[in-house]
Amino acid sequence: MSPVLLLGLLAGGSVGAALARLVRLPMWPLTGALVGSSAVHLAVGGGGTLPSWLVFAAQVLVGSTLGARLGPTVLREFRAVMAPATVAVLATVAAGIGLGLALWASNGLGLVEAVFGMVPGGVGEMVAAVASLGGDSALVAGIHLVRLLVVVSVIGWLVRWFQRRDGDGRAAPD
Amino acid sequence: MKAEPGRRSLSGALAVGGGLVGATLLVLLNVPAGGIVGAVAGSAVASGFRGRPPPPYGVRVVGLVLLGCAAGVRLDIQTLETLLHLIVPLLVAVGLLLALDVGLATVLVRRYSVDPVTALLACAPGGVSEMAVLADEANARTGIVIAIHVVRVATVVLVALPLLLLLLGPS
Repeated sequence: MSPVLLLGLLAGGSVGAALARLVRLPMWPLTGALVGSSAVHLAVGGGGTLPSWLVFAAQVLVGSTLGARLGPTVLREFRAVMAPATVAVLATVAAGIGLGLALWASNGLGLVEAVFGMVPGGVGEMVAAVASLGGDSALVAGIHLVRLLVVVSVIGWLVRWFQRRDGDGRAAPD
Repeated sequence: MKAEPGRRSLSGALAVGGGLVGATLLVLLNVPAGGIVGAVAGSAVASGFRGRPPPPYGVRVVGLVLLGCAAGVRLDIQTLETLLHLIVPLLVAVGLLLALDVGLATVLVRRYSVDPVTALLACAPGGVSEMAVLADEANARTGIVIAIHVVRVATVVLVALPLLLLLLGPS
């Protein structure tokens, strides 16, 4: 990816994030940047992916802000819900595979693209696996993108709803 | 947590440094979602488990904007056309996953006394980073949310993915 295109994508993402903040989209830095950068990407006719070091840097920045807030009781808290959480995880993964099979059977989507597109987890790994099977990895990435955007938006609104309902005085993040 | 700006900057740099070391280590070890998980673990250790102030909010915003850009550039025109063609069944499928999330969260709330927001975020079919950030901003139990999503990603990558490759791969 050329430096000019990279700067353009980052600028598009930043503008998108600023606009998303104005209209109070849930997770505005992520959802806004996603829409803004994809708009730029589509406008210039594509041209590769972001450098892996930049994605790694993003994960470090986000992960660091989260880790610094974790309390010392985190492992004990997790142990308390580990069994039901594992069941929940298995149910979600099984549902993703089932829905992928349903999409394949009813909408003419390829089997590989449908199943790997609907399994909720490890987007990078799913895309790489589809590529290794000779499937349409861009489509699988797109399906995961739609899932991510919808889930982040809906869950964000649901969280706000719970906070309003329970009278949580903390303002929604802005 | 209040802190002087200088001390806060130093603590923030320490947390990011710890995150960098943790992420590098887990990525080199090929741990699923190693970048984000390693950064969380590394920064938790470097910060002494909330013994020091976290990095400023702007650090997270920059990281999320970059993650958004990384996701956005995956779209191209042909993929977009296919997605538009499939959008209704795709939204229905994601809606069903979200309905399952609500159902599972209800069980966690009623039987295991987990608060609703934590339960909803822990069972959500979303990304580790995204759900963890939502949890932190909603004052939910972020550690539980991260841990459960790590289990989800590990289950997918270490169990579901090899099985699917075995079943769907070229025979």
